[in-house]
Amino acid sequence: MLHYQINPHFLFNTLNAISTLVLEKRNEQAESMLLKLAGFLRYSLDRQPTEMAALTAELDAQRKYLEIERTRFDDRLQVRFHVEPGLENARLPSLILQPIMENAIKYAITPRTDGGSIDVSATRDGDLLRIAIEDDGPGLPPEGDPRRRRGVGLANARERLELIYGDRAGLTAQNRAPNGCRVEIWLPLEEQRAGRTPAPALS
Amino acid sequence: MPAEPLRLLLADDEPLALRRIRLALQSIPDVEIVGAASDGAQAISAMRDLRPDVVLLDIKMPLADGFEVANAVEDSGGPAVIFVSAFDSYAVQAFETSAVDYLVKPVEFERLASALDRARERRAAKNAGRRAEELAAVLDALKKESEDREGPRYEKEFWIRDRGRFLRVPVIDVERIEAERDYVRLYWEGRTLLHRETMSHLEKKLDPDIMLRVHRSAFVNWKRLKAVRRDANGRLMAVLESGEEVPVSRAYAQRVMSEMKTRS
Repeated sequence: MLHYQINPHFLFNTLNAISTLVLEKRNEQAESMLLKLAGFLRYSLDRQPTEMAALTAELDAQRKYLEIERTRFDDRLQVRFHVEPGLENARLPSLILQPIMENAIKYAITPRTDGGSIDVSATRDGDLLRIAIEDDGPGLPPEGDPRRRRGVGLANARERLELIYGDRAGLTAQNRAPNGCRVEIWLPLEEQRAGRTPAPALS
Repeated sequence: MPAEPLRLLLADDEPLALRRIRLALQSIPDVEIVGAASDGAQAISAMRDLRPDVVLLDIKMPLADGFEVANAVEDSGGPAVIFVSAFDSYAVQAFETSAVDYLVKPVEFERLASALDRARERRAAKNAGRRAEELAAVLDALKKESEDREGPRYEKEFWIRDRGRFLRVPVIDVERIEAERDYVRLYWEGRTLLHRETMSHLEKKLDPDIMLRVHRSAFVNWKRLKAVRRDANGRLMAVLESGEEVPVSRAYAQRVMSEMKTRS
């Protein structure tokens, strides 16, 4: 449960969208979407659930994911990435951002007929790496609201960080003013060495 | 007469998904897209305004999901619902509704055509039921209207098969009628005629102002009635002008007596 599983709704909706583009003979767009899906699937399926990744690889996969979502929702989604220079090779658990992105799409973008935006930023804070995902949606429902299911995906990410880093890492989710939600994770800033390094075993 | 096109409403929050359904529908004859909605709330109001025959419903949609839209179907002329979803995780829930079908994306064109065939059958059954009801209502109204205008319609004459011809026998000229197994015997101008009819059926067809039922097995013509008397055994008897006497049963006695009072 801790590692990411491809959401079948995402997968089949994306295949459906690509099929549309093919039927409309918009081959370049179909090809582009197919390549993004292939890239995202490769990144997702190619790894052990405990594996670590470089920040650029993780963000690249997330960018592909968000661009696919943007095509599906007809550009109702705006995405901005801000990565502080020098953090390209910072290490983080692979796909740790995926449930956060899916939440943002699910709760902040698709429920709104006029769409919305997602901002992703990565910054250095002393010896910590901070990554923030901000949306401009309706924000988190109040504590105790049954709709606060949004917590499940975030709880998994938080637990995974804790297993790897103990109390040296964490995750917070809070509402932004005037509206929207900000999820931030922080973890020790470590350089990704050449090749793939497995994270400490989970079991 | 060519089939009336099936009127469709599409509902999906993904524009590409809507476009694919439109493309698929191009290859299916006798369908007409009357509207497309990109969220559940739009779908509900479009259903009410456009009264489609069929709604092709995505399940995960903003504002109201496919199931909420399906719940509003009854108030919207009852279109047939076909769910179109990316994954079958909702299939069980979908089949608990009265949906015609459940399709997964990307929808195969032939599969869509067969789902629409099912919707067409349902529409035909519904229309047939509705037409039968309408006809029954029209008949009732006509009947009521004619009764209001001229009272209940009673038979004025019998047509009796007699030795290779049909005899016209005006009801008013019949002296009395007696049951005889599956037939009735008419006493008319000094002779008797057998006619295939039951007493209970006759009672509905004959004007009670002319033919008065006096017994489970007898009518007498009011105009030929001369007297009512009790015989030696205390039985009530209807005495006709011809001198014939017909017993009046206990069940009909009261009615015969009150009729006599009102008419005398």
